[in-house]
Amino acid sequence: MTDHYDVCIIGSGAGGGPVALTLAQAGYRVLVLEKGPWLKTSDYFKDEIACCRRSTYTPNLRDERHVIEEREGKNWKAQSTYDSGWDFWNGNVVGGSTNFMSGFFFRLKPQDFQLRSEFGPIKNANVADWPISYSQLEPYYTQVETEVGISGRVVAHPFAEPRSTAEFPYPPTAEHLLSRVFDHACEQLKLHAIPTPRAVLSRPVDERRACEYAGYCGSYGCATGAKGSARVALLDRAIKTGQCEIRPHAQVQRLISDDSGRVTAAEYVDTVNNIQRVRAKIFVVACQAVETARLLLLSTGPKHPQGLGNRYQQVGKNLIFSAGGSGRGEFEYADFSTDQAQALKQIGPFVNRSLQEWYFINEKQLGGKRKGGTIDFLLRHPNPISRAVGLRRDDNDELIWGQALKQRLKNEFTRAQYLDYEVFCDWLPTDDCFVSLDSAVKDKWGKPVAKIRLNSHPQDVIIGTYLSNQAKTVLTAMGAKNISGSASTSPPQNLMAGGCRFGTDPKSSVLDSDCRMHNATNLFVTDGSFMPTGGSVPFTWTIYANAFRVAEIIKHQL
Amino acid sequence: MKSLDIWNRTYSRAFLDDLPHRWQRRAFLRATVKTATVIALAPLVSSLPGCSDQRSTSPPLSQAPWPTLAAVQEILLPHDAFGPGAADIRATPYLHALLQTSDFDPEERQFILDGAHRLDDICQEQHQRAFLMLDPALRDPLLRDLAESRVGDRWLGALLTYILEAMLGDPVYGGNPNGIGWRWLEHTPGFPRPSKGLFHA
Ligand SMILES: Cc1cc2nc3c(=O)[nH]c(=O)nc-3n(C[C@H](O)[C@H](O)[C@H](O)COP(=O)(O)OP(=O)(O)OC[C@H]3O[C@@H](n4cnc5c(N)ncnc54)[C@H](O)[C@@H]3O)c2cc1C
Ligand code: SF4
Repeated sequence: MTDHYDVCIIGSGAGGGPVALTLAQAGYRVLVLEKGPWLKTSDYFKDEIACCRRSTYTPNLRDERHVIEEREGKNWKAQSTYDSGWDFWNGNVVGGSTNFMSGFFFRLKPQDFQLRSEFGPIKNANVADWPISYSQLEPYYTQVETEVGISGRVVAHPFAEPRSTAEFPYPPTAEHLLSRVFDHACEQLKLHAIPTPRAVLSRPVDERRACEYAGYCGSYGCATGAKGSARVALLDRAIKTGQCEIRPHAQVQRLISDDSGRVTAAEYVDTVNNIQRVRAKIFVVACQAVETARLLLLSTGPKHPQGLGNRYQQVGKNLIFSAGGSGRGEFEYADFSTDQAQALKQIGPFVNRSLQEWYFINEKQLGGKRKGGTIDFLLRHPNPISRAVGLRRDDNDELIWGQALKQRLKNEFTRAQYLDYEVFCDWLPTDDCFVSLDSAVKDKWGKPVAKIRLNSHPQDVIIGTYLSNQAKTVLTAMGAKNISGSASTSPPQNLMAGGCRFGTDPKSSVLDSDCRMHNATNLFVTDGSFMPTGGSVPFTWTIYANAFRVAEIIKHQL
Repeated sequence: MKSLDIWNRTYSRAFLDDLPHRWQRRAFLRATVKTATVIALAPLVSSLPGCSDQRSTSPPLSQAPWPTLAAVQEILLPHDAFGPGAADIRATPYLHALLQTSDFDPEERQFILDGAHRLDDICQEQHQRAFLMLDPALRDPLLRDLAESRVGDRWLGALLTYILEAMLGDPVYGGNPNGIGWRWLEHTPGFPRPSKGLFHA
């Protein structure tokens, strides 16, 4: 126990990065403990086998798995992710999952902070108001636009959230032919096409180059530095202050607390499996929702016999995802002129269009005033292996090979361009969606793994279906063929939050409105875990913004 | 169908049930990653061809069962005027290198290699000769029969997956020479491309 830091941050992604930068810039000694390796921009390539066919940036599931519980009739069926292949790791390297995100960035709406007051209670759902308001977070949303780098163009639409600045600091990224087709269709349908804001630089800043439009963005590490990962946008700058140290390959297994309940040290295993301890005045946990809950539950102490902050059994509860669904339409090259077909085939420039026309809905068929969501339109991911592997079985799950397979491949790859849509709506928090420790399955160090019980609320699918149908109408107006799509009850494992709600009542929340643990005043949680509800958008802009907000609070506490 | 029954019984139902995941079928079905990836970052094996110590974990390419595996791969992806076949995309060396990696699931490796021997047993039983000696016209029907069984379906499914990886993965991994697979499917690869086929932390 030689080291003594002002702040020790566990996890180097969207939740950890803003805190490290803010406090290092303010002159405090910051240590970041990250379980994965420290890869640099020059270590990332467009390599589908590395990115998406092997556990290159995530743990081997044989060594570190999760257990997933799903409903089967009246019972819950548990299966480890090693057995199912349904991987809940999202990126375990310095910068976390932000290295691999697509960076479609949205703010929440003011009403998202007051969902229970705005829409009333929903049966079997634990909807709660946030203890802070949109206007309290707004300055930090704005800060993220410049600190992380968000490109976009502000347009007026019925549910546009208030902004304190007129425009984004970076102009929109380059656009695909289908963006224009989309805008045209929306004009006809009297819808407001929104250029999707992106955490992608459209022009260079310092050592970060502008996007080079390689066409492979989501799931891939960025080789230019354009993508606003916590690593390039925040941590590299924190290091430059000389005040921040990042220790990769440091798997934190436990936080140690004293008789007063305060955290005194973080205990981690290093590369050679030695146990190390570090002390700090303040600890910040940002391991992503599931692993954050697991670490807290593993961290028992004299004042925390059931895990840190788990006095009222709230740690891990009300886990949420981004509900919704997805779909696709096809644009056959044969229906276009040679030049247009050429432009359609282009991969690189983004479609970057979304709709928030139905963020709030008032429809008789849905029972009146309801919370709706966002639809994002994007080119189909180009990953050829995954597309091809999907073609080796027919609809009846029978294998296809030989001539028939070759024809299928050729047809799939050369006939059409595909436009996808993704629906984002609230994943209502329920009693049946939470993280706990598995009593039998352990990781390679012998520690219990996280067990995730999954449950989606029936309303999620109703709203998801409604939005999915709207998306199909737009695809039809665009002239797409073979339109398909649906809502889903399966959570997108890469868009998770909740589990350590912030709130004013310690009985129903883990953190106070500053994201400080109710009964451990030198412990903060800054990843998405704090969110009582998720908004109808992907979360990362909000996670970044809140982490900047909490960093200011920590600064004052130090 | 005695040999097939024995083969089927060699692997527990649980092992075979798991296989779709190990070869990504279930992962593909269940993947719900949103925001520009409809594929999950699902694992298959945890390391890449070439990044292990080069322990010889399977016989050299010239020895059994590799010639049989190569013949099966050529049926699954035949060379014709329409496009490249398994040999053109170097599917066999790709698979060979992949199985060499020390991290490759040992059970899966065994399952793939063993499958070729089982195929020979079945072929002996039905046609009184090894698969490589069988009239080429009879080979595809034999595989189609095999695919009716659970174990055969899983085995062929795995071989197909690795054929497609060889065809559309980066050439640094040993398949897809000069991007032949990409060109055939008019696919534009991303950039920068990997300079080496492995990933060192
Ligand atoms: C393919 C993909 C596409 C995405 N696209 C979008 C998008 O378009 N828009 C959007 O808003 N969001 C997107 N996301 C989601 C986004 O990446 C996450 O919301 C965000 O990164 C979450 O931040 P976090 O801090 O909770 O976790 P992370 O950023 O994952 O950081 C957590 C870090 O903690 C480390 N850690 C975990 N446990 C320990 C431990 N015990 N000890 C030490 N370190 C530990 C992890 O290794 C990791 O590096 C995408 C994600 C993926 C994977
Ligand atoms: S260069 Fe652009 S397209 Fe490529 S990963 Fe970075 S942000 Fe995405």
